[in-house]
Amino acid sequence: MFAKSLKLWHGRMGVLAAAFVLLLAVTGLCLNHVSSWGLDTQALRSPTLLSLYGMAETGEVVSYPLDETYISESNGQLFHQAKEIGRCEGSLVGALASSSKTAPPIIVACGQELLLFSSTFQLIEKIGVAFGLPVAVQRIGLVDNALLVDSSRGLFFADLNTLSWTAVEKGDISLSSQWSETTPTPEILSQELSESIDRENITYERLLLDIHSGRIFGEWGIYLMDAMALLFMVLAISGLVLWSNGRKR
Amino acid sequence: MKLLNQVAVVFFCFLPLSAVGKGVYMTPEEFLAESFSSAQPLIQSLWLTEDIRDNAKQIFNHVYPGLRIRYWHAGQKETQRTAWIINEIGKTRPITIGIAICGDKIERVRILEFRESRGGEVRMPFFTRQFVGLSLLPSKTQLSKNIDGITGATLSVKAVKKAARFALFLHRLVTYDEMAGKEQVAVDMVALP
Repeated sequence: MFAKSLKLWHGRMGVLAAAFVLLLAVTGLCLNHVSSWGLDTQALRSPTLLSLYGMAETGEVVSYPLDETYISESNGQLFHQAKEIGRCEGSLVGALASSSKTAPPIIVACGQELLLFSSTFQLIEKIGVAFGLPVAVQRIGLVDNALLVDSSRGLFFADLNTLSWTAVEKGDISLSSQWSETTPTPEILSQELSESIDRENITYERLLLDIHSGRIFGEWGIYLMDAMALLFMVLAISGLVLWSNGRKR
Repeated sequence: MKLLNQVAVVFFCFLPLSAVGKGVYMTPEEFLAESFSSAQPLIQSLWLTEDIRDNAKQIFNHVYPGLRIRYWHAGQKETQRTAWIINEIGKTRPITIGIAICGDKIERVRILEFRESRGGEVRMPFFTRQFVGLSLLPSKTQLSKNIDGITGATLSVKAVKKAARFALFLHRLVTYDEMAGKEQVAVDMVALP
């Protein structure tokens, strides 16, 4: 009688556990290969999945006009229009197009470094503290085609070929200086960027871990996985008992 | 029970160490001062031609981000010394690695900044010391000796090894290699500020 009842409940519990066993097996398998499959670096972009983290909203976007286009930054990602062109160390503080033959065509300033780009937005190099850049950069401007860097250490004329930084007094700067100034990001560009911005670097690895542990469904998800773990233990024991009874017969 | 409590206290005291790793360990100025204690180096720049970029891709397994690289140079002939500051991603964030080379051999490797929470052990002298005296195998881009890895820091170890190989490759290019030629090796020379 006991064996019959146990067999019946073992079957019922098995059906209930099947879906969870599959879920845990699939997520566990993926977690074992996160690095080789690149799941630890790919950021979540789907608004539906991000809404599970309460992060469906777009992060703050800072934009600077560059001719007829925009250089934008959000969460450290740097964009020309909606195309990612690199990462920004510190927040974006300016973008300039230089017409000088000796200077790089496009200069983008972040708080801790200058990024020099070709006219096709190919990164030439990054100029940081190691090369004498006065930080933190607060804004950049042009005076008669010469680059001017306004930093927390003062004002400097920069020669990016020879990497020389010449300190100047504010009073010495002519009125013709053109500072790069931020503007509101156009609505259409904001919408395009919202598709490309990594939000707080929530990766697929994080998502898999949270599904595996049940945390994706909050506190109750953890309790549910706890209950399932207990169920698997009961199944293992009841399975062994049934197998042992079968052998005796 | 008392012993159990003591073990628990020790465990929780050391638990935060797992998060240690992130941080600035050396400024570029300190690294350069250490590398060029006797001679004043010049900053030079090297344009990365297609050939160099192909080699860089072989070494890093990804495209090197940039068309130009700056380095510091001092000395002449066999005593030429160069220093390179290279950023390479460990797992998700770049590690800033300083490499000084003299006479085709690595003189020192220093981790200037580590930005990830795991793998920071690569900054330890027991690891960086292994690079001293290493060179590139002839006509290859492999190090002349194996580097022992660190458990739990595999990707950071790989990043440092790649940076070391790239620096040795570039050093050979700017100091000896005829292939580099006068057209490829650039030109801008200025005194270190």
